[in-house]
Amino acid sequence: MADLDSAPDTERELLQAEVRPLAETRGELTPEIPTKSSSLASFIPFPSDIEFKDKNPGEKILLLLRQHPAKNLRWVIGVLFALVFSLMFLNPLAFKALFGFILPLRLFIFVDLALYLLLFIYTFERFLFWFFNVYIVTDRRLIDIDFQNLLLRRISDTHLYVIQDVTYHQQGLAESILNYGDVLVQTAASETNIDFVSVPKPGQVAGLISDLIHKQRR
Amino acid sequence: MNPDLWNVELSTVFIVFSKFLAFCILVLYLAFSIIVWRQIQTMARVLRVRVVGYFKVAILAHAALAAITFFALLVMS
Repeated sequence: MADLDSAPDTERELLQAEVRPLAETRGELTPEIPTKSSSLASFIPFPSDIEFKDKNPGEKILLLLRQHPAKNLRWVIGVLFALVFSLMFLNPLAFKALFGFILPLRLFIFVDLALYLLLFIYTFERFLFWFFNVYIVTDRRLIDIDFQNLLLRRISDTHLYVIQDVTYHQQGLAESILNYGDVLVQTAASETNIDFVSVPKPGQVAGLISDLIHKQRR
Repeated sequence: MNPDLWNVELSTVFIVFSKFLAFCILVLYLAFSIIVWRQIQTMARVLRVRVVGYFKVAILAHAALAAITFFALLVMS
C-alpha cells in the first residue's frame, strides 16, 4: 500500500495503452478515462490506490465499479425526513403546541441525541455497504465482492476464458436518464454467473468485458 | 398518602429512569460503534482502500463524542 503512489503512474499508462485500442474500436471508455479518480466514485478506471484480497501477482485492475449513487436515494431521503421530523417536532415548544403540555427539556435532549446518534450510525453503515460492495474487472477475471452484514460476506470471481456471454440492460426512466443498469455475465454451467447490478455506464462495461474476452481468445 | 411525598417520589423515579435511559442508550451506541468498527476492519481486509483510515477516525471520534455527551448528561441530571 505504501508505494502505490510511485509505481502505478507508469503502470496505468501501460494499461491504458493496452486497453485503449480495444475500447477505441467501440468508441467507448477511452475518452472518459481520467488519469486519477476519487476512491468514492462509482466508476473508477485503472484505480491506483485500491487493492483486493487474493489478487494474483501481476494481475491488473482495469475497472472498479459500485452501484450508481442514485441507488442510495431511498435511504438518504429517509434519513433527511427523520432529521426534519426531529427538528420540527422533537422540541418542547412544538410538543406544547401539539399536545398542550410540557415535558422536561432533559428528556428532549436525551431523545434528540439518541436519534441523531442512531441516524449517524445507520447512515454510516449504509454508506459502508455501498462503498465496500464492489465489482472489479481485472485483465484476468471478474470479481464480485458482497457484504450483506457483519457475518455474511460473499466473494465470487469468474475467469474471462469461461465467460460465454455478456449482456446489459437498462429499464425504467431513472436508469435511462442517469445511465446506469445491470451487466449480466453468463458463464459455463459449472461456474458462477456474475451480475453487476445497477452499475454506471453498463454499455461501456459490457463492451470492455467483451473486448477483454476477445483479446484472451486471440 | 401525602401528595407532596408522592410528587417527590415521582421526580426521583423520573431522574433515576432518565439516568438509566441515558446509560442504556450510551451502551447501545458504543456497542453499535464497535460493530461498525469491526465491519470496517473486516471489509478493509478484503478491499484495501486508502480512505478506510478516515472511516476509522470518524467512527472513533463520533463514539468518543457520544460517550462524553452522555456522561455529561448523566452527571447533570
